[in-house]
Amino acid sequence: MGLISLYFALFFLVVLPLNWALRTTGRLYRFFLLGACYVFYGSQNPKFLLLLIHFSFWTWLLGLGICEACRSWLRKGLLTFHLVIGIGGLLFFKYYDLLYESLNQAFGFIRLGALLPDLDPIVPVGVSFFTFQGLSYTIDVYRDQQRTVRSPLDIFIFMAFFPTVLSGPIMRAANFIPQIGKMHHDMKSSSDGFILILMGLVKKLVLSSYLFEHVVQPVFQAPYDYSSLSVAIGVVGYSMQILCDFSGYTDLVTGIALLLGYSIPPNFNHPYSARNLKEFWPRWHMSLSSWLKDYLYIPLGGNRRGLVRKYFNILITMTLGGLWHGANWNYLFWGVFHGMGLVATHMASDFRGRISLFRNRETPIRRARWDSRTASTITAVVSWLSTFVFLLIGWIFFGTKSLGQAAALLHRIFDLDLVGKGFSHYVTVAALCIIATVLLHEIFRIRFREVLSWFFQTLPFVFQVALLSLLIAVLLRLAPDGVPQFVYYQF
Amino acid sequence: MKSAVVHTSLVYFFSLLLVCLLNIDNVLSWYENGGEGREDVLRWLAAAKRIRMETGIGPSLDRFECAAGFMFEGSYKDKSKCDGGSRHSAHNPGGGGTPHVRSVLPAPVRAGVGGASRRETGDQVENGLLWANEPPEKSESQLIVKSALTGGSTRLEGNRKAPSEGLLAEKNSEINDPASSKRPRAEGSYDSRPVHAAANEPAAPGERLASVKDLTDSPSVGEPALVEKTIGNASVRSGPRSLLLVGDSLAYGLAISLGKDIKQRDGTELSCFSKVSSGLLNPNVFNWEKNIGTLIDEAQPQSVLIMMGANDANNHIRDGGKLCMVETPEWADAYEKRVLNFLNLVSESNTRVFWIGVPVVREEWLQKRIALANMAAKNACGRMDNCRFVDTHGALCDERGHYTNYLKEPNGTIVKIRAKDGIHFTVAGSKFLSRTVLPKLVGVGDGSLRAEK
Repeated sequence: MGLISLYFALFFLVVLPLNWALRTTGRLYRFFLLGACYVFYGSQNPKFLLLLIHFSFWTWLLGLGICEACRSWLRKGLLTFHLVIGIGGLLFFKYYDLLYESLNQAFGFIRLGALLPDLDPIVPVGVSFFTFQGLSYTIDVYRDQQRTVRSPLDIFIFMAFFPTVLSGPIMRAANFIPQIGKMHHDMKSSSDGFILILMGLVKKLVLSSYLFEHVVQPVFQAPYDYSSLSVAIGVVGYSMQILCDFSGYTDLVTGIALLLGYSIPPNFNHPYSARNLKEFWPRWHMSLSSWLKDYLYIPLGGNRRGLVRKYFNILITMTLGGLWHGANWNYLFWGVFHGMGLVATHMASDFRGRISLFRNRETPIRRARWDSRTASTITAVVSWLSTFVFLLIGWIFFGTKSLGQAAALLHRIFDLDLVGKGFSHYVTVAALCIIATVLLHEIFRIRFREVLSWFFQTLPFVFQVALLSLLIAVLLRLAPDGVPQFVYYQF
Repeated sequence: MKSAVVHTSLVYFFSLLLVCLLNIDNVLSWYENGGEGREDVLRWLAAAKRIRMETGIGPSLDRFECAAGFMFEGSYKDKSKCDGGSRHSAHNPGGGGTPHVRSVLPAPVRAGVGGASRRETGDQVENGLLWANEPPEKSESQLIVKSALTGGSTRLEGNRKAPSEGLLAEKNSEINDPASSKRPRAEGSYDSRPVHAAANEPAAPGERLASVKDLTDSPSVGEPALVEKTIGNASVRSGPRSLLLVGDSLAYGLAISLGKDIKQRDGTELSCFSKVSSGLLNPNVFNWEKNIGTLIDEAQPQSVLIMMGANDANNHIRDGGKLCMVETPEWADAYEKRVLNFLNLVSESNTRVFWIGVPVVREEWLQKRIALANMAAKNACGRMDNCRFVDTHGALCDERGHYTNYLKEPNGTIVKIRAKDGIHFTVAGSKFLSRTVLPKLVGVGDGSLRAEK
């Protein structure tokens, strides 16, 4: 049952009214919601459901154990155990194949399967997301015992909440669990929910799919067939495709959760408006960025142990963040690339901070001159452009399957060869329009949702239904058959 | 708050109802493919379809889709309802599981020889619109297949490879390798730009039939003229020494190695036109029956290779009024009829056909279904003079004849041959499969073209 399917639409048709009808029934409501979550997740693959239940159980039990344990070493031991099963599970699903093949290649003369069994594990959809959610809960309990949740049902729902279980956003127990059974709903959240669903569908079905099918896929598959300009357009197209895909997914699940009365954390805040990487990361995949910051960067020491250690921590965090996406050199490179970029940005900003301190003391007039509007505009444009180009280079590695393919794309772009295939006029115009629209929306941080939601709210019931159904019908007409999965499902 | 909740639920309910009404064709398909449909529900759906047409909203949406079609470059928009039917529409089998399926071929055609039609240069074959992201089939294996596949139609010419993202879950570094990507061009074996000066000349009436005839009767003489064309978003090479491989994602997987191997063997060019999740039983994903004629008209291949059935194996068949459930003898009979009908359509173009069976898959329950589909295809093929069934069951098995993820190359290297889903194969797996298929393509490339049973 995919999120964009008739199955899900019918499933939600049943769940939505029951969710509100049973809201005040306490335990019955929790059983109902948990059942709905498990039906949805189990429909992906029943075997995955066992894993989810298993990990949820350990999360609840160990959270309770950490809270009740009277000795600090025991608490630490329980937390370590949870980290081992959580991260161990992730490593098993994501890296076992790599290990198996590497060992087999290294010791190929030994009988096949002698070193490790050929388990060929299938990565359960959403495993990274619910593992991170579970770990964040036990770490929070370890840090503050007041955060312990004693009800297993609440923890199980938190881990399996169906709008977010497949690809996040990664929620925190402290924000989500208090909402269970105490949801609030009004006309504004209703129209917000519908508009978010609509925006999610536009982004995924039309924008992302169009760019993927017509611009990105052809160029990424055979860069040497295309001119340098076409490849460059393809790469920019990919940057917009991945944004539309993931933020479209986030809009969709946020809208669904809103209709159910739940508020889930935002994942995107106009990331391409960032003028440096320090601005970019708090805006891109925010729930993962903040998770990495709170549970990896800060425990490593954050910026509390001097500048060198801070840079090292940033690099480690970003590298692991890259590797989180999968066992692939490209993800590793992407993580390191962003880590180095972030370190450079921090270095520049630390250095500038010291210089400006010095200038403030010595030459206040010079500073005033640089604060002029023109200079700041030029600085802003150059900063934005350089950041965007940096991001594009990163996306090339993220979006390709091997370093060789990424190198081919880069090589083709910097060939500056205008000979080769281009896109047809229609595709070029359509793709450029999509890219320009998304970019303008990003750069000027246009808040479509608020305006559309307000407009939708003012409409009478009949018009709301007519508008919604007509727009969705049109979107389905514009969508491709077999819409590609959301990019982040694979992680 | 209560009024807001009621309001939200009602808006959702009525919107969904209207959306379903506006896309009733897809809902009908979805319902029929879901299993034993209740007659009263089907009647309701048919009534809804009438309402949609009579109110004029449905046709308006169709017109909108037609108007927007120019932007889609033949990749995923179905323009058939804008242009009319196809020459093959009359051949839809009596079974007719999906009577509401739209025809696919665009109309602007000019007469060819022997009743064959040829579209104007630049026209494209396009596939049907699907409800959301779920093809009609809904079994677990199909979900896995879809999760592994994201690409649309793909192309491949000779040793030129174009991977479908996610198709080859592992070991696709070869096809992504910039060096290998550039190599063919450097060697002059393939360039996306026209190779032959005459390539852009439209074929004269009779030329196509003549070329097939020549090849049928005599060995290849001289260097055959290859013509590069675009079909949908696939680029194919046509000519007397060309093969057309059509099918689902597995066909694409096979084409990666077979294209290279067959080119090395005798210089035959292999073009592949594949549609993921497609088959003979899910025309909403891609209607092969209505498109195959145009594909062959455009490619003018010496022989046609067909590899499909993995997706069909999970779909029930409505044969006339009767629903044939999967894994039953009735299903096998109905599927045989479908295959036979499809082979008839292919045979209209006077080409030889090789039906390539689906190799063994990991899941036992799916293997049973696929074995049944393979058997039906083999039987249907046996009833045609120009068709040969290529059994690939053992191509990817271990010594005991069981499914395996790894096999040993002749040089002793152990390679992974299957993708995560236990259905698709890696590049290495594609090579193993190609080694099995290639010797069985008797008559291909050597001009003899005699069907060997």
